Parts: sequence; C-alpha cells; structure tokens
Amino acid sequence: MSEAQHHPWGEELAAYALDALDPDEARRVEAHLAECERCRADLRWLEPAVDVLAESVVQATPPARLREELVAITRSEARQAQPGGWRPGWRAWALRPATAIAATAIVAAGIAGYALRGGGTEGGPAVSEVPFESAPAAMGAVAVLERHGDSATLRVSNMPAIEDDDVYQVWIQHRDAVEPSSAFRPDTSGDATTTIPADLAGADAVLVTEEPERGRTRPTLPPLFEADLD
Amino acid sequence: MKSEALQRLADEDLMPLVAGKDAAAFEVFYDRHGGAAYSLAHRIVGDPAAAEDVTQEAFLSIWRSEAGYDRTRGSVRAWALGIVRNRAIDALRREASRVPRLDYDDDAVLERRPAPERTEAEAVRRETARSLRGALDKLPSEQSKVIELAYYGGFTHSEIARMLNMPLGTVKGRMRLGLEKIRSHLAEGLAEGAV
Repeated sequence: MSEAQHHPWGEELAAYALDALDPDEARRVEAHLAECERCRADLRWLEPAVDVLAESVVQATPPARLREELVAITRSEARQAQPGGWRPGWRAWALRPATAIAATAIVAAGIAGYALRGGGTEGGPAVSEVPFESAPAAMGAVAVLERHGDSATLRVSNMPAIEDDDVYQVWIQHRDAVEPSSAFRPDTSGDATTTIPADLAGADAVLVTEEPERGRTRPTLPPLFEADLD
Repeated sequence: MKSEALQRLADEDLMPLVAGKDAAAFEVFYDRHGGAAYSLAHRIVGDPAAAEDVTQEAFLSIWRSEAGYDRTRGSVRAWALGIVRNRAIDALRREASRVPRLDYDDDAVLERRPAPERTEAEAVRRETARSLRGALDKLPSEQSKVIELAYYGGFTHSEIARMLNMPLGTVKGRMRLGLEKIRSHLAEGLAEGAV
C-alpha cells in the first residue's frame, strides 16, 4: 500500500509541492501542514523530487549581456545603497524616461540658472551654460552643458571612476523618447569634455548615464545628470 | 571582500553578503546559478529573449531582497530556482494564450545554436542535468505528463484534469506516484549528490 493510501493528504501534498493547487486548496494544505508533523516530513521527502525538475532541463548558456547588465545594475545600486545614496526605480525610468526622472530625488548641482557669456564680441554665436541636476549617485560630480546655437559641449569634473569597459553615455530626450549621443570616459582626475554633435533644436533634455559598454540604444541605468533645455 | 575569498564561501554564507548589497558577492552568486536559472526559464517560456528577461527579473528580485533566503527552507540553489520558476510561470500566464509544450525538444533547439565556450563547471552542470533527466525518463508517460504540465506549464491539477479529460483524483494520484518514483530513484543513488 502506498503512502498516498495511508494518509489522505498525500496526493494533496504532491500537488502542493508542484505548485499545482488552486490558492484556496494551497491555503488548506498549509493550515494542515502547520499542525501535522507527518505531512511536513512527507513534504520534505518529496521536495528533492521537485528540485530534480528544475535541475534536469537541458542546460543552456545565458547570453553574456545578461551578466553584464546585472553587474552594471547591482554595482550602481550598491553605490547608491551607501549612506546618502539614492534608490531609483531604474526599470520604471527606463520604460518611461520622460516622466520618471521628475519623481526621483534630484539635487541641484550647485549651478543656479542660466548664464550667458560671449556672444557678439568675437562675432560668434552666444554661448549659454545650461545647469545640470545631478543624482546622489553622481557622488558630487559636476556637469555643465555649453550650448553653441544648436550644438553643445558637455564638461564634467570629479566624475566617479568606472569599470574598464563602462562609459558615460549622453542621451538626447525628445518627449518620451531618448536617443544616444556621444559617450566618454573621464581622465584619471574624473574630468572630461565631449562634444554633443546632435542638433539640440527641439530637444527637451540632455541626460547622462553610466552604461556597461558603448553602443547602447536605450539607457540601462537611471540618469546621473539631467539638463532641461526648455 | 576579495573575489577569491568570495569564491570559497558556501552559498549559505554568500547570501547574507548579497542581502547586504555586496555587488561582488552577487556576481559570484550569479556565476554559480545563472546558467541553471536561465536554462530553467528557457525550458518554461520557450524563448531566449523571454528567458533572459525572466532570469534578470528573478536575480534582481533576489538582489533587492524582495525574496530573502531562509536557511530552513532548503538549499540556496533550490530556493533561487524556485524564484526563477515562479517568475517564468508568471511570464507564461501574462501571455494571452498558451499551449502545453510537452513535446518541446530542448536538445534540438539548444544544440543547434552556436556552441559557446564551455567551462568545466558548465560541463558538470550539463552532465548533472543529463543524469537527472534519467530519473524523469523512467517515469510512465502518464505520470511525467501531469508533472510536466504542472511544473513547466504552470497548470493547476484541475486545469490538467480538464485538459486531459480525466478525473481530478487520477491527476493528483499520478502526480504523487511520479514524484515518489523520482524520489525513490534519488534515494537509490541514481542521481546521488546532484540535488
């Protein structure tokens, strides 16, 4: 005679172990398990059989980018988890870049308002400095966007060091869409200057993120800097 | 902690570091279980891109401590694969329509893809999976069918009964008998040390 015939809960436990019960049935089994050591032991005995189902599938090699993305995300979030850090909903941001950043805790980089310099004295176009707002994950780095007509130059200083393959990526935001612009790595002092060749006419914002490699078509991490162009 | 030191830690000792937001510990954790997790997700959702999404979701949920590890509830690997399985079933259920994939030929699909560089650990993982499949292959088809529909398909026993047009008690009985047989094979040592 089988164990199932000895104990009326045996078949329920097998279905429970396979996660094949309806929610109400599962709750009844759990209530019974709380009171019945025999069934708890029976379930413990069955569980390795269920583990076999997970382990016995044909083994495939995950794409390298899966690891790269997880590493980039976890390293970034580990930095942000440090005291004073910032814990963004990066996935929500990546899906809704135009709206989510407004809800995140962004602190001013210390540059207030627009400043105008040049313009006219040498006959060239006016240069305006656009302030960036920075996330705490920027660790006190400072970024300034210098607009020359519809193009621009980004100057950053004191940027956090990044992994060998990582880059800082500039993005141009138009409404709900973002497109990649230039990518850069700072020098050993954390400083960098990069030209943004894209036409910024009509753009809503310029963003900077840390990315695990060049060539990304959409951000994988929340922005470190944002400059509104309105 | 240096990577070499992390590599020497048992899973159970690694998890508190992961919970403490140690990214290097997380990388070791992923390197140990990412392949098995992706393989399980692929078996369930049947699509490489969806399997990648499921695996990423599952590992991020672990990283973000949405699902904390409890030593009393089995091995880290079984716990992690349980999370992956649940995420994969959720992904299946999000689809508007789905059909049982009992005849899905993992070997044929996966072996056709370009062979990646296979590490020793990966070779061991593949061989372990093969030997464990032996325990499943020994089941009568009527038992393996209900077990696979439940575990890889995410169907409840009542759904399976309707699908196969058989009494509910028969479905539950076959689940029980099938699991008992797999368990007995393990106990006999046919796949000793693999689970």
